[in-house]
Amino acid sequence: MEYAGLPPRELERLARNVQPGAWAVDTRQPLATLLGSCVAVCLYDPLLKIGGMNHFMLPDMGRSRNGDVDSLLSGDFAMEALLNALLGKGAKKVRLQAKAFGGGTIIDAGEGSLSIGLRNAGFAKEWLQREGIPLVSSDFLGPWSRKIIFLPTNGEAFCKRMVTNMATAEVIAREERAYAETLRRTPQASDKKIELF
Amino acid sequence: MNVQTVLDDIAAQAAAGELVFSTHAAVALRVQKLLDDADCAIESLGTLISADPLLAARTLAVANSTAYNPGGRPITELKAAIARLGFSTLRSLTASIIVRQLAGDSFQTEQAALAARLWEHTAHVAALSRVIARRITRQNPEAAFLAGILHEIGGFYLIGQAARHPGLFNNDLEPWHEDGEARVGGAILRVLDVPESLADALETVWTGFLSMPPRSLGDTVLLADELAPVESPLDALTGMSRRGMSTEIELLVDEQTLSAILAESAAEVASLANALKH
Repeated sequence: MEYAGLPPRELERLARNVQPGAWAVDTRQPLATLLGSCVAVCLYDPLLKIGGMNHFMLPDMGRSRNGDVDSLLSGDFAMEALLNALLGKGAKKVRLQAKAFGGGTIIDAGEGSLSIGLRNAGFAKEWLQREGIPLVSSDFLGPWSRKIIFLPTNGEAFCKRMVTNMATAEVIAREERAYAETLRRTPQASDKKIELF
Repeated sequence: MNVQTVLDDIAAQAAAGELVFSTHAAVALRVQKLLDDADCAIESLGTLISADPLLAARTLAVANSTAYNPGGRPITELKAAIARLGFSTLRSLTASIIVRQLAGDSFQTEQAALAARLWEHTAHVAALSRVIARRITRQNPEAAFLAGILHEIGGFYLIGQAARHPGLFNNDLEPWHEDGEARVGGAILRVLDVPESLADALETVWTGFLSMPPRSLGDTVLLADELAPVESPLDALTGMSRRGMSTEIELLVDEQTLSAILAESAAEVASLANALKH
């Protein structure tokens, strides 16, 4: 099926959904996600015509001793997972282009809620800059949730700012909270394997 | 009140073609018809436009705005104003009269204030669309201007119908943002027999998916809508208001370049928005 040229609503219907904490790489099917304070980064290799999208947030590690470092490592993991998945399919880092979205304040709970989105957006921009991947377009912050549709065949991305009513905010916040909880969880014994080679 | 039911009713009425036009809009519609005529003469247009003081005043004001008169040579005569503006801009001006009057002119203070604010927003979006088309998306600036004028056509109609549904604006109008605007606006465009390319562009605006970076005529107006310094008063009622929060957007140009383009164009946008305001 040829996806390029289809209207965004049709692409949305046909897209594979990327949940909070997940990433996906594809050479054909559109990818979609719904963002609150989380961020989604879309990476695209125009020569290989392959792209991928992740959906992540920096966890709030509280006042734990290495909280800030752990939080940034978690962001690094989300970005590297997407990058490695693309490289694994033959994409070249030097050709990659990025589009990034999100970091909204969907539940107004004072200054803290504003800074969550700001932190996530800031991390995405800094990571891309550090890795030398150009950010060709983005839409961050504001009071909206966002629906993102990404077409990995040609790198096209569509961003719809959406009303965040109580019901939507609750759904997004629940999913993002559950995701944040998994990030905060103490690693299980089985997760503590060390691979030496 | 069930807002969805009310919006269904308003959309059905618009689709039935039950649009009531004032005398101002009737003249504007006749001008539109004349503009469709390949042999249309400036003399005939001037005569027809002078029959309506509102359209005549707006034609002169826009012709003398910085956007169309960067050299600052004032014009006081309608024929010269028409020649300076060209037929496509004149079409936008007649559309502006039609759009604005859809809100009616004998309504409650609350609706009057909403309509005035919505017009201020429309004027800014139209003027900004013209600049974005020229500087960023490389679309036809005059087509973008017209699409900007028309982008809130459903909103004006909604305000005009509010008297039939007392208390409508005291409700959460989220369904308007979901698909109400597209249904009502689309119905009015069909009644007015607007060209398909323009209707497609407005469909993009009402659907709300902005291509990143923006490219099409619809993207041009949607971006102008997102960047306009004056928000639509309907945004607050539908939950789409910025609520004073900052946003960061990067497009074909980075945020700094975009800010520079907007700053450079601020005088042009202000003059055009001001000329359209009355």
